[in-house]
Amino acid sequence: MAPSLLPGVQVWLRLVGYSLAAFCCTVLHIVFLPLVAVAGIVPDLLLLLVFWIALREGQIAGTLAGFAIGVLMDLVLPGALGLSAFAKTLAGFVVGFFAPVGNDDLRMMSIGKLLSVVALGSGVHNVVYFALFVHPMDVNPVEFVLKYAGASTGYTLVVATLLVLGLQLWWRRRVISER
Amino acid sequence: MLLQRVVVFVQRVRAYLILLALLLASVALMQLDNERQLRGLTALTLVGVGAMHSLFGGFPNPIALRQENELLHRLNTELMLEVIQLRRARAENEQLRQLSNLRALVPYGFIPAEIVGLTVGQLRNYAVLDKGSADGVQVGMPVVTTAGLLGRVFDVSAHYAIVELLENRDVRIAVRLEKSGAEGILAWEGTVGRFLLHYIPTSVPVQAGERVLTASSSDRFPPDIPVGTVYAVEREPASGFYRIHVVPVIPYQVLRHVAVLQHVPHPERRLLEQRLRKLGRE
Repeated sequence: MAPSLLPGVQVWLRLVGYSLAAFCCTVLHIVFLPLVAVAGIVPDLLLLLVFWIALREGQIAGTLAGFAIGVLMDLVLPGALGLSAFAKTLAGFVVGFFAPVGNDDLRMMSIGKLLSVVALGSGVHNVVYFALFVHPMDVNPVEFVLKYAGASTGYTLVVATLLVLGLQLWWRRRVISER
Repeated sequence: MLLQRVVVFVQRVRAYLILLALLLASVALMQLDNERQLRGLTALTLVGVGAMHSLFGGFPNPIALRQENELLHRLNTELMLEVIQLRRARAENEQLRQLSNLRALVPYGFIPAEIVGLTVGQLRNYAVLDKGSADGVQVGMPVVTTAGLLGRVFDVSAHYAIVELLENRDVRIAVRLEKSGAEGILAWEGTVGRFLLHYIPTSVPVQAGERVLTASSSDRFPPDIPVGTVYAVEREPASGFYRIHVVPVIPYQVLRHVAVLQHVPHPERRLLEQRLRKLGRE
């Protein structure tokens, strides 16, 4: 089972760190990501942050982070309130299920597995999000969801791949320097 | 014992319980979306978002700029077409208003008509009017606007008339210069918007800008109808006449509303003139 929440000061420090990361991702999402939007689709950096928290801190922390970050996104981005919170809570829960347990470390996860987990979480998030999003619209819901969920998942996965590769590189260098 | 089992069970499924609670909270947020208190909160965050945009928002987005550019181009074209339509409507309005005042200016009766077709660019330029013999239009009647002479009726059917425009290879008009009164013959030389005035002796002072009017020496058109304006004067020493370039008063391409003057050459005068020409040839 996933590790429990960290006690004491460390928990608060991590909480502050994640909050800062969420703030930075929000700024990036609002200000800079529209510059790389393709047909209105942007990679979901806040979703990747939820996955990061879920994989590092466990399923419950991931679920809570998903909800908190979802609410934050619902507030700052135009759209129905609660929609992002719902989808991200679910995505955080799903990804948190694959968090390393016991003595296992996130660094031990292979790139393939990591990206598969991200793809699954992103897919769940986007299908739920766009399925709820399309509800009041007069369009073919299946086509809409497949099109936008697919595109959004793909774009987020591309960014996730770059981040994972960068992270792996950083971890390796760190290990070499420690030796 | 039971309580302990419940605690263990809750600990085992707490992740699911938390998930359920948070999903329910999300659904509750969806239901509360339009509540006034939440609107205040979203308004507050929008202020923050706006501040973020104003703080970091100076970065150009090439894709958005290109799209905006295309949109502006399209909008510009649409607006240009709209302006053209408005200008045309204004010109039409002006012409109609002027035509309504024509009766006071011209001592003839007239038939208002609309140009429904133009044949141009073949050295024989004609306009088709929507009025014909049923409306009283006859062959030979001059066609004018308040600006001046446009041409004369060349042929007529019951409901249509063909106007031989001045910019026509076969048209020759007896005209006079407004200041000196010297008379000559105006003819089109094949260039759009350009006429040549012949037979004005070089002893007559002629200046660019002088108006050219129909002459009274010919009964084909009523006298003193503006035809054009002198814009260049050349001397032809060998002949003793000027070569005067005239621009028409009416760019007929932009016209739609005209008046057919109920003036036909006097049959008795026309007969006499024809006899004179016959004698000249003999």
